[in-house]
Amino acid sequence: MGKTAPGLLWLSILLTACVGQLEEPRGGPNPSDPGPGPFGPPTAEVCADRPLEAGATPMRRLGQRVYRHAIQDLFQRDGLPAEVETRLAQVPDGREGGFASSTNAPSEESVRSYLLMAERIADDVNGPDLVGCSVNQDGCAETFVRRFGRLVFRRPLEESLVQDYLATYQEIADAQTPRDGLETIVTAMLASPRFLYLAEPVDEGAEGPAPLDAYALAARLSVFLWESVPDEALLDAAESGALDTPEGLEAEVDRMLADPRALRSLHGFHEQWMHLERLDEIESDDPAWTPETRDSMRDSLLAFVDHVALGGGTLSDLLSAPYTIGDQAVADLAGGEAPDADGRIELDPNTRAGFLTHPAFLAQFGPVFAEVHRGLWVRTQLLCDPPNPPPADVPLVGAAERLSTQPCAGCHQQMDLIGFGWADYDSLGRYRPDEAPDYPAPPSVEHTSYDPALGGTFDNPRELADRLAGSEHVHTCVATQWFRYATGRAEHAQDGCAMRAIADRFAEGGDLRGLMRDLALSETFRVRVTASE
Amino acid sequence: MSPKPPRSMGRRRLLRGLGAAAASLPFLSSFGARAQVGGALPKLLIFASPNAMLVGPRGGSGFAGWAPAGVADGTSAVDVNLDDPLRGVLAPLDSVKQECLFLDGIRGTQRVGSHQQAVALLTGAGVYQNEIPRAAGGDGEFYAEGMSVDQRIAGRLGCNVLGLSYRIQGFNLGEGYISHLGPNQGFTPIQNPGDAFSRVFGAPSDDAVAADARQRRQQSVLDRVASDLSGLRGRLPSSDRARLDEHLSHVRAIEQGMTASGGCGDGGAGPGSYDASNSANMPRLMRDYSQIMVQAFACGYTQVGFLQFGNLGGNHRPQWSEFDAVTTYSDHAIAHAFQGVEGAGSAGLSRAEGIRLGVNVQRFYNAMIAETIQRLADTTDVDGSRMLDNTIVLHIKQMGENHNRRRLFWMVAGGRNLGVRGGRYVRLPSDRHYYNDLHVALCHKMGLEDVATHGDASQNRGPLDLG
Repeated sequence: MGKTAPGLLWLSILLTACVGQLEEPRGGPNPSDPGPGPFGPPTAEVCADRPLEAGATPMRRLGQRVYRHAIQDLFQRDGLPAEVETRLAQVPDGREGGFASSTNAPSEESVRSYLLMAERIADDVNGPDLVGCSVNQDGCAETFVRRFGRLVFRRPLEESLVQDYLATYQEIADAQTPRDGLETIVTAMLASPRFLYLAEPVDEGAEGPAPLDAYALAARLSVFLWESVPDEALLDAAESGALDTPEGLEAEVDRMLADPRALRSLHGFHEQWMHLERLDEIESDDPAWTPETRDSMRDSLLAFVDHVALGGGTLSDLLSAPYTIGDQAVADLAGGEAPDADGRIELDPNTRAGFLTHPAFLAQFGPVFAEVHRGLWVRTQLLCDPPNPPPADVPLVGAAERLSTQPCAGCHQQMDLIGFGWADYDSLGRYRPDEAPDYPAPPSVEHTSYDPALGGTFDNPRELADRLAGSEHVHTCVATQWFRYATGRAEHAQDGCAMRAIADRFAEGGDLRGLMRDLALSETFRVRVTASE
Repeated sequence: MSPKPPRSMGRRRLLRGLGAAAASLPFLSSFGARAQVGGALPKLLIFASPNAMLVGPRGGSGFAGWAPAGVADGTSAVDVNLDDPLRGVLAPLDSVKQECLFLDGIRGTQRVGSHQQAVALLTGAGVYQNEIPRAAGGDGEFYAEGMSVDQRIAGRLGCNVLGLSYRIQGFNLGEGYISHLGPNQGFTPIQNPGDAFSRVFGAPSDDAVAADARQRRQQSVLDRVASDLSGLRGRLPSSDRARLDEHLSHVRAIEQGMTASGGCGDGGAGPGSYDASNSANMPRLMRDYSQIMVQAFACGYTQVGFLQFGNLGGNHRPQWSEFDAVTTYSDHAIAHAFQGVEGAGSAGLSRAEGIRLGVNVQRFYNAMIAETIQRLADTTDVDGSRMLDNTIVLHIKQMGENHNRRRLFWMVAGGRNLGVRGGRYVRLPSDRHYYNDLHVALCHKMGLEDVATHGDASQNRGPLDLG
């Protein structure tokens, strides 16, 4: 169960900065340093004409979401058997840069779970449907091993491997039944490291980033854009060499982004970025807090994300659009009109600003100390400037004391003052200015030397949203978050210039799908640096 | 691990004829002590449950409500008379109190916060340095700097720890792992009854032919997986190979366990299938685990095990009508409300309801432990004595009074043949003994007499006197 520390180089500089200090944290990047610096990638000037550099990419396992989608796609089934879901929940994902990514070795229990999940999934296999021929017919098993093995392992099987799987099939088919033989090799494929790991063979002797082969690139693309494994067409593009050409790669990326499977990644990113997974852990005595409300608001926020992103919308829309998509329960909470036929709910632009005031987003902070958690979220997820975690056994003190006494104030000034901006919203996101808590200070964004225009007091989330939406720094941070999601790792200093180019493009228009596309097409996405352990 | 005798229907019938404790064992068709090579072996069974035994604020109602008369805020170890019935959260233990040694006043390590004590409870060490908090992009999980005492003892005795738990995942703050194989290596417990059963008895099946056929298929799968691991290994950079090697070592361990499984004989129909992640099923789950654990001891499958009531942060929401503890609040929120630190995590639960629920939740944990103590007492070991006398039971908790790491309340039970003297309530000198002193005492009682310290050496003050 070991795990490795991601190379949060510029983050770790920050982490030492805030406890017990009231002064401004360390300033902006050193222009001569090619790394991202404490508050974002280096400037375009610093990066001009530099050869590609990239941080080390550890080998990943398929996480829970990718595993689930891969099984659905490989077997064309809607969901997983209940026992498999239960077991999958107990194969924990690691986390890198805030997103699920398993770069550690699995525990013995996880390895057992992989075996038992594979066995259970294979048990559901309808032989003729999956195999496409009668399995005891001559050549049928071999055709199946080649075709299905290529899908599961995401590359063609070497001849010896085909023979190995056929031998296993034959052994069990002879001793038991052909169906048992088929189930056994399907089980073995799903429990194989060739399925479970994103194996990326590269030339170790190479200096600097080594290019991935087309199959490894196909797998990276499918995990990023679909949270799944490649389909036949993507593997064909790898096999034909199309993926090695800029046009072929663009064609595949555009096809993948237009495919409904791309919604999984939009949801996967936003659920994790907005911490929507925490909705399941929220405890509240508010009578409106029911499992149905929870699901409605989560579905609503994701539908809003889809609507913005698929409609060519921008980060600015996400932060400030005065509408959402949802059902009546959401309309009631958000104080909007009844949803129209498409589920669109028009909201009051004075009190509602994109996801920043969406009930699901606000509810995941919970009813206790919400102002701290809201501010922490902005600091971490939109400014990429997280304060240090609290020291052990901090005393419980009131809001005013948190801002004025050490060791609290250094960090809480960075968080709470931002969080005060949502005083008029209750813990389920309803607009309740009459019940606003009496906070000890006006809302403001403090300690933003990296982007002074972000700083200063503000009146409400609407004003904050507009300020965030106009910030290049915020765009860089969101692009960085997407980089982490796309690559399954935290950024390193060496990633600075590759990120600069992507972040600059994103800052120009804020196009969310354009950002996904740019990441998928970027040179850094096609290379691997191996760790020097 | 000791070699396993072959499966035998004849023995199953024979043992059923012996009838030992069969009435309390709904699914185990065979029962009895056997196959412990070299006579009755010393055994260690650890219970871990979330939050605190509700040692309330000093002088508060929670503390006064259940501690035996005569317990003061003393500074020296005092034995307290247990003649009066146990009250409050301890009431379920009243019937077995003569087996119990209550340890009031263990000190949590100061090196990590109270919500990180899970790693220290059995290691006596701190958090591995690479812990990355969730707010900084980590998974929120954390592991220990060193090996836990259960693994240390099992390693010396030559057996594998059998860890059984309600689900440990899903909490923001980690707190899932109590057992550690080494630095940064959490030991994952089994988290459903079917796996626990088949680990000890082999797959439940009334059809021996079908079971053998399945085992053969699984063997073929493991062979293929092992071969694929080797094949893949050669094509990958050296930095990837360590992970595949670790994966392969797990495959080998599973293979070995498979050929050895069934060593405890035919376990009968098995515990049945139910949702082991549903809080409402936790009483059933812990009772099933208890049976499996005692039988695993009896037949020599292992000498060291733990039963864990899920994540020690207590993210489960009690749904235990049998114990009048049904709520939409989590164990953790209940603990906060009871302690009177409502703002920090009680999510609006009132103090009065927090106390009512909190007492019932802790009673549930203690009831499950009391039932297991009774089961061990009702089971005859190979030397003719009660299995309880050859088994040290330990109950650990990571929170003390006021939801912090001061004055933790732990319990040891059983182990008479190993030198543990129960029937006592000991108020330890304030803030003197860290976990480590109990770890060393356990090592000595389990036969590891050369052990001088465990975990962080600076937290060793000399072994606790258990006898």
